[in-house]
Amino acid sequence: MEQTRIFNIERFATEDGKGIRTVVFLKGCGLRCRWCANPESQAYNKEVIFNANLCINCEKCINICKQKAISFHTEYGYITNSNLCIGCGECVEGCYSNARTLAGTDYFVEELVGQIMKDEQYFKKSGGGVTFSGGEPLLHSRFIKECMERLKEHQITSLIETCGHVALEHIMEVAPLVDYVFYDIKHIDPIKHKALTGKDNKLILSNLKWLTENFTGELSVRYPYIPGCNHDEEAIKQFMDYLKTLKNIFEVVFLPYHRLGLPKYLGLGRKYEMGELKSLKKNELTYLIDTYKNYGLNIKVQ
Amino acid sequence: MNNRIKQLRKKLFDTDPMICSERCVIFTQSMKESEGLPIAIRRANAFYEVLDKMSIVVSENELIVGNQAKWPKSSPIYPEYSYEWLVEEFNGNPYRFDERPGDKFFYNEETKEKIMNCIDYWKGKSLYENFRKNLPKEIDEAWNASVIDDTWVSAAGLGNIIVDYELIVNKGLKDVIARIEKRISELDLKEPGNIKKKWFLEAALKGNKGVIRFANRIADECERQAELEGNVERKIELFKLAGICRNVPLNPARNFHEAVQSIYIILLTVHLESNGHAISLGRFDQYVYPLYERDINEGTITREEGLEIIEAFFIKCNELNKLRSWQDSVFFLGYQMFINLAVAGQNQAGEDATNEVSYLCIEACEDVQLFTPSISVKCFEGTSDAFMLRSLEAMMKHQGGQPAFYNDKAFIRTLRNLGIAEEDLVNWAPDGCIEASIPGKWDFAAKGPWLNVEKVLEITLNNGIDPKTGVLFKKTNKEIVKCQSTEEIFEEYKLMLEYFMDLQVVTEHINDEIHVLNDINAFRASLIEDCIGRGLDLVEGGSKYSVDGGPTAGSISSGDALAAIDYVVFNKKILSLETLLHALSTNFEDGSTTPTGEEIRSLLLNKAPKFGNDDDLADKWIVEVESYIGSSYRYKYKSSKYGKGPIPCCYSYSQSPVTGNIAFGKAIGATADGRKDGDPVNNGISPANGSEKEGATAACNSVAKLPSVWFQKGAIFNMRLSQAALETVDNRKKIVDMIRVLFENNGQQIQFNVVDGKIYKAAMENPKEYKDLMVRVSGYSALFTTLVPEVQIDVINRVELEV
Repeated sequence: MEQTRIFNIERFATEDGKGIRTVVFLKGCGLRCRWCANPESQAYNKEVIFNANLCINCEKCINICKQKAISFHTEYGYITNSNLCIGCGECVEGCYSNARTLAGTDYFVEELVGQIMKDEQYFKKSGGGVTFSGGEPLLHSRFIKECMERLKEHQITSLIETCGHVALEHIMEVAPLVDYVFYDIKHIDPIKHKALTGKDNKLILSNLKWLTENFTGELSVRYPYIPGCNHDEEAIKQFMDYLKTLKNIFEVVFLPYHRLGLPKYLGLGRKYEMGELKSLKKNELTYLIDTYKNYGLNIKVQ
Repeated sequence: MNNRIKQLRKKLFDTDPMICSERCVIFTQSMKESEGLPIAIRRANAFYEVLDKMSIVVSENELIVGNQAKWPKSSPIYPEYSYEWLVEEFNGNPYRFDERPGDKFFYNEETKEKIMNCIDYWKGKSLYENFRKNLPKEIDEAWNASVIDDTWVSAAGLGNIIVDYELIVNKGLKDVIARIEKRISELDLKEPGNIKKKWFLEAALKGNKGVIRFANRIADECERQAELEGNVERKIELFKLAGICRNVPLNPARNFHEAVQSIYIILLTVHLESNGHAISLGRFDQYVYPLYERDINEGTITREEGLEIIEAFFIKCNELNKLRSWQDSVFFLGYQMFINLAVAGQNQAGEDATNEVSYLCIEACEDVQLFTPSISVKCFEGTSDAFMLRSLEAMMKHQGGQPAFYNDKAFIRTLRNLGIAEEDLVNWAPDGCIEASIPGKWDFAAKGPWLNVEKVLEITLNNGIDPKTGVLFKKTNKEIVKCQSTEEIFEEYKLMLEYFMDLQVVTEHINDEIHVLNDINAFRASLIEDCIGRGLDLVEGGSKYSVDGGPTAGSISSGDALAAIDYVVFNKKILSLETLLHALSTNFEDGSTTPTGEEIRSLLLNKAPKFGNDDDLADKWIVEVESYIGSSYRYKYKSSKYGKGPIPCCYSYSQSPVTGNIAFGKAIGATADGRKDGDPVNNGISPANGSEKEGATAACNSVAKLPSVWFQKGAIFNMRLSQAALETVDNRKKIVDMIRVLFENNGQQIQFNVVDGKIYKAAMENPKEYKDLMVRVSGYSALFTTLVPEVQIDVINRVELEV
């Protein structure tokens, strides 16, 4: 039985695909996007997030931690050094104020399917299902495949939210079982892509091409719109021009930048790389629908 | 909302609630003159006198007419029930009526004097003082310790009634009068007991005639004004209104407008006969639709005119008011009358009963944005998505939690278990907050003492002693600190619950007997089957159906407390039971223990499992508590009407505490769910504030585990939604789907608060700017700015589920 690492399960998600869905966030990702809203999703190892608002400064956590991984930082508070942390969770259990959260719980397929099935009736009623997100869920393709096989027995649909930066065989492993794919493109230019995410986009683009030719479900391509990174006219035009050459793209969705991830950076003792950049509103992006209305693509802003 | 409705609505908001002395003076005078006559006749005479002599007010541009007091929103006084608090509060103890922190009433010195002049007569006669005189010591002690409280149905009249509006609309009071007269003529007065029946029936006759007289007096006033009116359009309208009030409620309604006016006169006069609240309207859309349909087909009314009549009616419902003692007010804050109006549902054939009037009611609810009547959508599997989506849209605009959604499936299951006839089941309607009633066939959908469920747990954990008053109620079998498992504690808790449920039932038997002696209301009884046939008032057993039971508060909090004990003491063994009990008895303030009191509180609040997260570790304890209370009420107890005619005459479980969760919370010390001394307990079956962490479906799943089969009196489930969660049709459809799943699983009801916390906070700071901001607080909605600050904070603290 496969086991893998999950950092969050969100029930009654209504913004991550059709109907009422349960979103499973899997841990670990090959990219390091500067604007990433889930910094705890990036590393595979378990991490402890600190929440200063809830902390009562009792310092019990420092004493609980046998690895001596917790220390006080004037900027962030009682931060866990992830190089020393073994993810035992004792400081989290011992923090009665809930100022510490463990990102990373290992699940067997059986356990996760049990969690997901709690909302089976809602999925069936609303045409919803499960969404695998991350992190990069396809790094866990074997696990996901097993889950999906179990969920298919109950006619529950599944959606994969991916950055595409995985070996093709991972995609091929799950593609026949997946109903929807949300596929992120961060930049069309490989050099800029590398500067923004740490990796170039060759693999991502070739995987996308494979999906457009082989995937039979609904393929939604998503573009996080990040001022100062990929929002310039040229970048977006190149992206759209590229999509125009592909078949079977169900929709193109632009995702406005937001700063909701900021507290998690602080909680991990990490610097937030986006500085003071303001969150965008949906209506600041709607011009794109007009600009590219002649592209024959179904364009949305979420 | 057209200009007339806007104007009527504005006037309603610009009017301050007053105290009106008219009913008090006329009623008292009549009662003085009728000493020695049977109580049924005395009250009927006094009721008639009030209807004959009180001021009649027809205001500018009104389309539905009639008044309960001299001014709109003013409360008449009912000194026959209780008066001591009137004297105290006129003297400023604890507050003058116009200086209360919530539910203020204004008055002038003349009003005060007139009322005070009546009070001498009532000394030694009021229902409440005679009731309290007859209570045994242990009940007094339980009442004083806030474990039970029966103020609401002893210091005021009995309510929670839905009379047979269908009968009134279709046959008129003429039919009622004919049946009373026939019944009187049939009575063989030689037969024992028939004299008393005759008295009751004569009283009913008098009451009906009083109401007809009242309608004619309204007609007179309309005519008087019509003669003086310069505006021709209004002149014609006033003559038309006069004609309507000459015809109804005596005769069958000839058209839609007459039907609604007839209903209003009945609603109003039932409120004048006694001041029991929650006089609800039943399935309004069903019994007025045939007339609406006929008017539309004949072209005598347009849809817009129909809507205008309904909106005018809704506004008029808000003119009815009730002055409660401050002690009683804290359980029902927000000028609540609990006039519930049901729409949609199914017909006898199991087909969708939604009609155009259902839609008009939803539209009116959205337009006038008032808290009365409470609009309730009855849902079953055949209710269309279109109607549910329309209702959600209205709810978004209403911003006060209306309409609320009710589940036919769950209520019908409960009512079937109670032995309600198959042909009556689909006709059930919520009364008051949420209590299920069969309109025109049920006496009081709720009646009986409140029960403070978590207070009983506190007493249990203190071995049977109330730590606040020091009273030993009933020693536990075992010293609690020696219990080896939560199950053992739970067994002791059950015995303690039983002790107090027994007291509740005894209290209500006494209350009923006192009402039988003092409080016969023959008019309203004559509109409920089978009071005329049996010659009995409702409280004597005249109705077809009867189930007693008062509200409870804190069942969920109690279950959370047991779950917390189980988790931290017996399961994780983080604390000893002794340490925990010490922390509770010191209100988590003892910093010298390890862990400290405050740490223990955090542990209980944050680490112990809580109801509302689809987590069996918590949910199973709540289910245990509720199964025990619910099944005991159903099978262990009989109400005073047992054997007199109504069925089934047991008790049933209510979890619609209105603001009683706050009032009762004040009497409870620190509890193991992490509550501090005096904090509110949970509201209805809504998870305790701050404890819903897994999202809406998890909260619904927890609620669906509860044994709703026992909840004839309903259980309020509040869910707060942000505006954003409902912005798109797609998202609204998801809410509809969620409701449908909850209802498939026998969840009874759900209501939503659709405002974000920012608006409420702004409203607290600047109430004048928000005087029409609404909020739903357990089973009803109220103007937010009329609530006392701690209730406002309670509303804000509800977890906002980011759907």
